[in-house]
Amino acid sequence: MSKYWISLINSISEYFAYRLNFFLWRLRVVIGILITYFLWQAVFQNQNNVFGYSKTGMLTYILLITFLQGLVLSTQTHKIAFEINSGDLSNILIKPINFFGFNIARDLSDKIINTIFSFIELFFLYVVLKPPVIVQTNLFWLTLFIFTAFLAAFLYFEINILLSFIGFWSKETWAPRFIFSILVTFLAGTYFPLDIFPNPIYNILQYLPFTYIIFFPLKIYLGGAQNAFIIKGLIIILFWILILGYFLHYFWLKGLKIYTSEGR
Amino acid sequence: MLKYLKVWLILCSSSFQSFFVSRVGSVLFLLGKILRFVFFLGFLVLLISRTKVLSGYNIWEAILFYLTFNLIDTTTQMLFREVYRFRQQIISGSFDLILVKPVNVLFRSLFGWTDLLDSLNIIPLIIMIIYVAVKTSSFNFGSALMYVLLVINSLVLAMSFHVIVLAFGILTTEIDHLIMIYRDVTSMGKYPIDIYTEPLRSIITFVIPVGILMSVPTKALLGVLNISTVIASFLIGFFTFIFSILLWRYSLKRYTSASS
Amino acid sequence: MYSVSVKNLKRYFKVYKRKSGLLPALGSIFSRPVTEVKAVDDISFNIEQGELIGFIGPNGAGKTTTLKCLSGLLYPSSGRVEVLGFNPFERKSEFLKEISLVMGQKNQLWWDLPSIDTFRLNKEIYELPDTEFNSHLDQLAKLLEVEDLINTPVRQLSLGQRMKMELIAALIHKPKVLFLDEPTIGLDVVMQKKMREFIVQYNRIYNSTILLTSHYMVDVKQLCKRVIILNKGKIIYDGNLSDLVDRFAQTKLITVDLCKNISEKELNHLGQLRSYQFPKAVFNVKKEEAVTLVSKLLKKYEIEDLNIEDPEIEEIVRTIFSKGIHE
Repeated sequence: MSKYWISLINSISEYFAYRLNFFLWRLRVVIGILITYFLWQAVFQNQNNVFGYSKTGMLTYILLITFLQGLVLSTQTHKIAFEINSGDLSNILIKPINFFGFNIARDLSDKIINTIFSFIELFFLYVVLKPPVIVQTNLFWLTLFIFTAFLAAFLYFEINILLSFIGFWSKETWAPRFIFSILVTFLAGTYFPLDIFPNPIYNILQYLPFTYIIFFPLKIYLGGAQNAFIIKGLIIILFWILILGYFLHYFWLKGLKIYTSEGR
Repeated sequence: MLKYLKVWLILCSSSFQSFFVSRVGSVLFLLGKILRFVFFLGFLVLLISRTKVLSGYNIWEAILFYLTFNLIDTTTQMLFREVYRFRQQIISGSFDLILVKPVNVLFRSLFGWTDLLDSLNIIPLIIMIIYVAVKTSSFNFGSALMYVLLVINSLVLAMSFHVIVLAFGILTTEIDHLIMIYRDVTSMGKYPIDIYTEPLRSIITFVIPVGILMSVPTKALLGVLNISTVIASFLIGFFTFIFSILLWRYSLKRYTSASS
Repeated sequence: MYSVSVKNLKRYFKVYKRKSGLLPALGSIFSRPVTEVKAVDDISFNIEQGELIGFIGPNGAGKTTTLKCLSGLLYPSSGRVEVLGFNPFERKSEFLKEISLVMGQKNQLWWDLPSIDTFRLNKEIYELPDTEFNSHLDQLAKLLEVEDLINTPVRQLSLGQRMKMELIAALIHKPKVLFLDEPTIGLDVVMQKKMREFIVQYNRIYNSTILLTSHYMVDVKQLCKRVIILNKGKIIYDGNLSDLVDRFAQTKLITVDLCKNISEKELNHLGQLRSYQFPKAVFNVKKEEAVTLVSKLLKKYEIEDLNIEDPEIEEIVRTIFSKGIHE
């Protein structure tokens, strides 16, 4: 167990080597949130209810993306594609350490640091912008929010490793990742809640994994979600986690066979 | 001048060839950009049709703002793609190899990688802009000319920002995300700048001239621009350019080669 | 039981070719010509525990491919590989704990962190007890003279220092079998020498089996009793270095110090003159002609000193690679 612990500690220490860069990265995150925030603030200038969301609900949704950005979207799994292509993957293969365990540890370091910063930023954003927000006090919704956020993080982790595994077959790992990031931007709910889509579209989105990366946990945080929505959502996200887990296992073994037959 | 044109053409050709080297990747990138364009257009239409956000602009006018944003953003990306790789060149020391060649360093660092694939997006964009512009009633020749001039001014302004990013890249090798922050901030210009509330609106018009960069040309086309804003736009474009060149020269003097 | 045992190992790669220029690039959309490269082509050898053995050969001879097959990174196309009784490709934990691989062009150290952080991670990965870790780290750091550098971030180290740290990271668990791929590449001459000294010492102290590849002959000459020479995927020699000279040296070098200045032309008439700068003349002649030449020289001229040598190993190996083997 402790080898994964040290991997995590080392990954965290790495952050402090490029502090300025990290702060600029956080600045980017905050700017991104602010841009979306200002857009919705403008939308609510002349009206109080848009797509069934109150101003308070919508601005809370947007601001909380900062938190999920840290917990769910922070990852270093894109490094895997590089490691496969450069041959650095051998460093792990040659040692008695589990590949997935190591990557979970490395990703946790990313998530911990970014989540801590997201709290600090949320605090400052709250102080500066003084937005009307919903502070969820119901313990049930809060617990469910955290639980689904962790499921989301795991789902996102799986998808990202799968994207990096493309590296076993091709050097073109950035293009699929680019498309994925666009899909996440629009279909996961980092720009707006998904239920503002017309019903036919929203009904399809419900069955895609993207919905559960951002929108699902945040919708639960806002409270008042119906039981059917929650149960259906939990079933779908667990389904995706299991099926992608199977793919992960399958493509890892396949990919390894290719890696070890080409030799980089 | 002829020499630079030739160098640029060779650089273009090598970038074009790399398209064939990684054809699947290139097609996917192109698809991704189109996807992003369509997604956002859909969101814009959805937003406008269901809310009262647009402070007086109708849906076609809003689309014109969006198309112009895309034209300027895509052209900038196409021409100045090299800027995205600049930090890597500084760190790895390959910038030294550029410095010792008898080609203007700034030229090479700005135009070293022209992403011709993006030009596939630019042509349909221009056609769409013409179509939508004709569709909005206020279109006339004078405003169209002003539009073209202001788009060129925007490209000069965008270039100046890229030069500033390059200069910062030399001054502090640690900064990686600066060009992306530029992209993020300018993305506010997808909508007419008028929708934002004060004081934000003034800040992104004059302090960080996103408004001049992205919104002003469309406004000229729609005929809702007064002459003082036009003059201010050209002046800001001009002075930002001068400033960026001065900063670039200063940064070169401070350059300390990283390679060992 | 052998420490390493290889039988009929083959390893083929498919290689896609690409032509330069715009039109050929366009053509590559439709078809890409494939060729098969026989990186390792049917080789067999056995190695005893504690042997220090060198693989030499020009670029692309199959040295690195062989090492990768032995360390389980490459799946053999065919043949049998056994290291410490394991099949390397299964990558069992018990196997991985007993081996290590160092590649001169790749690193395992965490670039932005002090080396000690990588060592600590490896301590956990190889499940070493504290005492063993500490004593072994001290020992290695002392041997390599880097005690005061283990807390310096890796990116601030020089190439030579970094290579030493790579070695410590790779050796911290006292592997029974060590694979070294071009361990001296890019290092300056002094550092190369130190590295070689360390490898010999390490081999002697811990009796580990060490397989090393290099294209510097000096490395092999000073380190290894036994060498395996590879060319185009095949073993063309496997045996002691000294035998190599006996078997393949076809010429002798004869050096004489003359007392009187004699014209170059005259000397060249006696046998192939390699260099001449009065008073020293060096002849390079076929083995069987050496005796005749010497007696001629002694008869004809007044000679202060005379020396008969085998040619340098480098030269022999170069001849083998360029002309193939003539026994």
